Amino acid sequence: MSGHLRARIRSSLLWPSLVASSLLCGCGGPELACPSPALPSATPGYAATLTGLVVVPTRAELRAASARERETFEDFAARLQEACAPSPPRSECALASARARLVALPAPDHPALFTSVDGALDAALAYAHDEVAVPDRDCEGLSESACDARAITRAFARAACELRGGGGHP
Amino acid sequence: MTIAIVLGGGGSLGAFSVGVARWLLVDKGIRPDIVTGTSTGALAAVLVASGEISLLSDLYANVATRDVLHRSFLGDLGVVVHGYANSVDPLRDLIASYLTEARRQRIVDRGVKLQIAATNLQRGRVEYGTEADDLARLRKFVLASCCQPALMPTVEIDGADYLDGGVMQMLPLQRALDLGATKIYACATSAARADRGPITRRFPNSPGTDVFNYTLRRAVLLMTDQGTDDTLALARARGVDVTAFRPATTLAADPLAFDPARMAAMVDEGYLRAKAILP
Repeated sequence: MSGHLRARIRSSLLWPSLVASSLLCGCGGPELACPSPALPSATPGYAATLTGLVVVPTRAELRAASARERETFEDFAARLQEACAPSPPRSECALASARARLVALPAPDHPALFTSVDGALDAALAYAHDEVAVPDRDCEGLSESACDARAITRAFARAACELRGGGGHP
Repeated sequence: MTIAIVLGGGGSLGAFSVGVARWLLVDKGIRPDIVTGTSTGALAAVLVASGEISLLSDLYANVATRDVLHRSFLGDLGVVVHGYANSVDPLRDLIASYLTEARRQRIVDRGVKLQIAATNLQRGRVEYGTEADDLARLRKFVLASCCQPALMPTVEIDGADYLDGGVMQMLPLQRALDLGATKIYACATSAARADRGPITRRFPNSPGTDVFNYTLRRAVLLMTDQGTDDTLALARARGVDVTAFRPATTLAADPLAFDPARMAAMVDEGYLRAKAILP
């Protein structure tokens, strides 16, 4: 199967199909599911705002990453998806633990890579929290930690997918 | 201190400025009092002024040419027949979708002065749409600011024809000075030492096409490169604190081609460039 075709198939996968695809894969780690690309809503909620704030620095920092570092990040993002996609999300879908796992990822070729991504999260979270008050956040009853973790997971998945050509508005 | 963010023109290359703005607003926590924009910078200025930088970067990383322009079936001959080569109906719709009354009011509520530069062809001067205008007039200014001569139609506002603010002011910094800015963050899409490479000849044996491309290059050198250099020099000569953000090298993209992957790459380039210039 060509890389292009594989990317097209991956891009057509939606979040609910994630569990099924990882079961079918039967190869240990979950597969990263790429969100459907589209023009953004003109009235984004809190979650979309936080996702958009995190995508840019993540994608920008990853551009310099080596192939194995990108692969490490994709695996990490796929595991986060597995925890955060279900409703309700699993207990591992929590901001602090997600960030701890992020900075612990190996980056042999660019040692500061994942700490740079994590550093950008601080600014993104502060901006989003400042712009959207707690009562106005579309968190679907989730705790702040899970809500933020889910939005960041979407950003990580988008960044990884856009870098490998599986995302972006066609 | 009165802070201004100035966003220059450049079509799809404006994605670079979006990445810069992302760094300034989110990572540096800069809250502008004034936001000015020309052309693609006019589109971006609306969402920078409203503080919706996440929406802005998502928009620029996903917009495609068909969302902005409709190429005339006559190609370049459309210039002769209609007076322009591209319809901007998609862009008009895009502006209407994102520049809503709620968003205009949000800018007013934040106390940000929004200044959208467009060239009044009758009076031969740059005029500005602002957040204080009614929505329809502000939308017209944003559209007019984006319409490059010959490539897109003029926009009628109050009985006069308007075009791209970049015709006279590619980097609308003068307005920020006039409004009393003391600290200016200027985002331009042309490199300080531009190398624009050889002129493209789509039909090497057709002198007519060459005339078009050479004329276009002349306009780019004057309006974009020289215009930006002169504007920055003017502000610095007046003692204003200006931080300029320009690409390290000429951005390799057609300003009228909106390719999402390339746009996303330019957003990222702007972000990393700003991070390097203003860590």
